Amino acid sequence: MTTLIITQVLNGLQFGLMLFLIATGLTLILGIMDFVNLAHGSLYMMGAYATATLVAKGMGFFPALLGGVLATFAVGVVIEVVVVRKLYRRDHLDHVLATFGIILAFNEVVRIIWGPVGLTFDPPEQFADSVDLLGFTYPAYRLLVIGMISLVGAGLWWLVTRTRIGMQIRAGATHPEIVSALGVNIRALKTTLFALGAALAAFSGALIGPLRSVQPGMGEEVLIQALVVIIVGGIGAIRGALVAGILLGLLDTLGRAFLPLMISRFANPEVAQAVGPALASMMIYLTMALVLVFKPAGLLPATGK
Amino acid sequence: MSGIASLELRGLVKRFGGLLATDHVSVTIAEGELFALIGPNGAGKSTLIGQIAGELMPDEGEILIGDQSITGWGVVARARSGLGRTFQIAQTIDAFTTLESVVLSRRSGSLSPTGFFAPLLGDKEILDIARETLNVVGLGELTQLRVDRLSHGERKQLELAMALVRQPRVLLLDEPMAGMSPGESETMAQLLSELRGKCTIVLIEHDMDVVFKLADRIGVLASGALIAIGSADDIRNNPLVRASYLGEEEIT
Repeated sequence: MTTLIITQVLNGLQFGLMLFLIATGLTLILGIMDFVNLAHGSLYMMGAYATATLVAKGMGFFPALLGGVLATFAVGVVIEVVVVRKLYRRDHLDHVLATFGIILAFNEVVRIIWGPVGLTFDPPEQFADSVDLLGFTYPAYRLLVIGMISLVGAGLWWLVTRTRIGMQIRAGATHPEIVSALGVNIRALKTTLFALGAALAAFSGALIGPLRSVQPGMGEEVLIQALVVIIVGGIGAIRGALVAGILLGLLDTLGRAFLPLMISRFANPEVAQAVGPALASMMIYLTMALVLVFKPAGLLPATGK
Repeated sequence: MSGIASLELRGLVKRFGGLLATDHVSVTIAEGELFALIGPNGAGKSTLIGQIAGELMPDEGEILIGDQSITGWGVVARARSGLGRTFQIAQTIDAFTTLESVVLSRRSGSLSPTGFFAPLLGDKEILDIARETLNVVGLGELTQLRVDRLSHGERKQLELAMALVRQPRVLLLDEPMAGMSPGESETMAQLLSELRGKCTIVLIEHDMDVVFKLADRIGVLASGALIAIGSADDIRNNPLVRASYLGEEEIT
């Protein structure tokens, strides 16, 4: 039982960090540029497909991952310049309509190029097996995912809070006049930020590839979950996305594993089998509803922009 | 890029529909001159400033910094060519410290790609320049303070530091004393008098005492046209200026 709990907690942590990574690109673009990017899930899918294709062509996992991320960064630049740039001054409904159009287009393009059947690819060889962790075994690849997301998350925090480009991005969001008057090209800055969000989405998509199948429409499910993370964490807050991601990841995973068991304690097994999974899959949405009622700005809203 | 430069306006015209907001304005502001622009509300000061800063494009005429025409240039290009400015309502960034603000200002506009990802506060030389500039504007003791903790006057001082640290060839000051307490105004006036001759300055200011005391020359704008240019005494005694200010405020 202890082993099961520890395993599920690690699974939950891994899923939560994944949610964080997907949500963080979305929340930066929404919080800093005030742009609703529903196509974020499509960029996640794009990263997964690009990486899977490069692996299938015989590339090692890590070079393929890098290639997938860079390719999606480039796609992000193109989308920003061609579509998104024209929409900043419009309201959110226009953002939603345009980026929903991009979702449909992406799914169709993916079906045309790769077909309706999903792709799969293997984790890197060194991480294909399970490792012994204080007396129980755990898949090495999932540990790798936890490690890599932690690194990228830390790097992102450093980029946004400490580096010149991060400071310019934050300053440019709230004070475009002064930042332009300092000689900073805000347009290029926005393109960079959008493409950075795309690269983050691609990175998550590529990491999840070996754990789930890579298929058309994989971005939508994750998009909804990422939106929930943003709402729970607070829009624009990296820290909020981290806390909310881990919280929701744990809730979801532990709920699916243990709710049926818990319910069977005081109801007959049939009811438990029916209600448990249904309730478990609602957990993150229930949490969102509670947060919206009691802390509408989110758990850790971005402070003092 | 460094050093100071003259600013020349040649026959600037800006129309909004039927309204002539800038009416053939021509003036050359010499290197190191402190030129004050005054005029009653609605005289077209903001429109003229907007055209100098690059926010508005003139319908006719030319703008030059030194020998370089910057007429069609946008805000960013003008900033990079050495135009510095402050805003009527201080534009400072709440979430940063004063030191971060000034360093960011100094380093913005440089295009080195590696510099983008360097830690903002990593360069000691730039840190020293930034601290020195904060000293000059009187914020030397407050380098670690977050901007949202500053008083209104201190924000204006910070904004000036952010402009100065870039060593602008021409500096545009849009009402640097607006909303300041008398004490704060005095500090700012002192600062401006120390800047005289070190920088070409265009000053827009409602505080006439300051304008008459500090400016090398004063230009009076009325209904979009420059109706008089001259020394403080010239302007005080100009009947046209008196007439245009009638019902506004007494010129002493």
